[in-house]
Amino acid sequence: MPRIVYLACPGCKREFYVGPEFLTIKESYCCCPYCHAEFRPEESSVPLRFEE
Amino acid sequence: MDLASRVTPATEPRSEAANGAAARPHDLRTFLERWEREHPEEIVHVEKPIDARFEVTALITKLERQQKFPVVICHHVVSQGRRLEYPLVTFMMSSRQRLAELLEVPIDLLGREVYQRRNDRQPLVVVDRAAAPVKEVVRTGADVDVTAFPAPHHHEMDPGPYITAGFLTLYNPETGLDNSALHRGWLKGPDEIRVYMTASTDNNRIWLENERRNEDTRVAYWIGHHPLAVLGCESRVPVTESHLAAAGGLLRQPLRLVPSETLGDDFLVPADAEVVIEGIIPAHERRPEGPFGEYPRYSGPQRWNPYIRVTAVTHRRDAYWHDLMVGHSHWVGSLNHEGHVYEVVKRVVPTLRQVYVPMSGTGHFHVYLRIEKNYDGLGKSALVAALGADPRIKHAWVFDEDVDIMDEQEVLRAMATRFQGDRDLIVISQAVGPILDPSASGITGAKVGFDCTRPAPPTPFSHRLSVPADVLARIDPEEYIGRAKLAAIPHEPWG
Repeated sequence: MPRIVYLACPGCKREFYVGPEFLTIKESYCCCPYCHAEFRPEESSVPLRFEE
Repeated sequence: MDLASRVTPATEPRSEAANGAAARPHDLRTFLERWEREHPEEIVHVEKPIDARFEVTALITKLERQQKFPVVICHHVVSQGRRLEYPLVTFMMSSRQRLAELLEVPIDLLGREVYQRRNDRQPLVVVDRAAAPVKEVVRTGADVDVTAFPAPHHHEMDPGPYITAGFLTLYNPETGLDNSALHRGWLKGPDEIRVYMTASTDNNRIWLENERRNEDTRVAYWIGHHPLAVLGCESRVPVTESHLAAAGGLLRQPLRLVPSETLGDDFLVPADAEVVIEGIIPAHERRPEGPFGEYPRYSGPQRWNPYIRVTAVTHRRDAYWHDLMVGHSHWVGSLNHEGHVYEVVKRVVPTLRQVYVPMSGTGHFHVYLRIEKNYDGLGKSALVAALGADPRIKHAWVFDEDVDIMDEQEVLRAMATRFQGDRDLIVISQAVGPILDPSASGITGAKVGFDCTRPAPPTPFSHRLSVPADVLARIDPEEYIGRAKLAAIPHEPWG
């Protein structure tokens, strides 16, 4: 299980990071801290990167 | 069950009249008035408009770099082009010297004093709504708007303005006791606050226990109080004791409470706070919260966290919004660690002289101990006790009595000359550590101890350089170099 998941907003394309629970909790969704768009991690505009 | 009726005798609320509490209650305003009178140089009034988004943090960053730690009051905070009605107070907890003067102790004894005073819990006092300044304005329903307050948007990657100096109070249904702790809260909308319920806290346990019973959780944030109330409420208090009573211990005055507006008369909140935000955490509901710039001075990741549906906001007419500049200097965590570690280590090493939790270690991760080492092994015993005292303590150092542990040049010099890595190092792998440490693996990490003490007597050890004290005292550089020349020599921080 990674400690942190790096992703990017599909709307504004800016990068941020989230906890690993977003990968395992099906009803969860991320919120871009820059434009507040809501999306699932798999919708990230860049491939997910993981910090162990 | 009536929560207020279930408190322990030591914390049982009493009426103000019964308690004879006639003196003006200590609050943020009594502190500010006193400091304006006695130390006006430490109160900075910012009249120029300043944006809640990054500009307040930039100002604090610049002051911090100059090693200046005043109370900063911003009177014209702007957010999204809108001038906010209320003033912002920040950086209040940044000065160790100020807190020492408030507690009337030398700066090296500050943590111990906090620990001792929080043990002198004061009974709580319940007052009528009419006597509670925090009820001067009461807003419920559609009138609620938490975004009207000047909460800073602190750092890049934060999603918006955050409550940072808000004590989140819950009542434990098992004991009836209050539990209050600082929890960050994102002001997401007029009636929504997303909150980080830190995993190791009693508030987290109370909330999850309510959720296990499919019950919503009643909560209240209270913001803005006397600095000693802030220190007291954030102190380590067992689940069987009241944080609010501990705050009274720091103040040496009972904390005045008043019934909530929407959470029931048994849910009591501080009457002399600046702002109280009441609400409900709906059971089993989560929303994204963060990322947020935390005390280790890194942005922590976004979390799938609960949120508060705000049911009421009460405040003083001209309420101050208190902000704790997280990720910058403040002594709230350090002082509580110092007192607690002192008590824990002292039981094992009676010759412990001092504990210091420096700001360079985030105010949590590092602890310096000073002991009188009268037999071998004492240094390592002190380290083991200190490392076990709190999950957030990651590295501990122990020094001899002659080392000034509040001078980090001294600390590093002693480490350079009295420490051998193959002999004096303790490493404990995979212990529970600080969850916000960006180098840790989840909740586990290494704990490391550095024994920087000399061998115990009678084993000899080289002497430190010294000049006879009387000679040092009588040599005045101005007499030999001249005042003007001395003043003109460039200052360098590296020597």
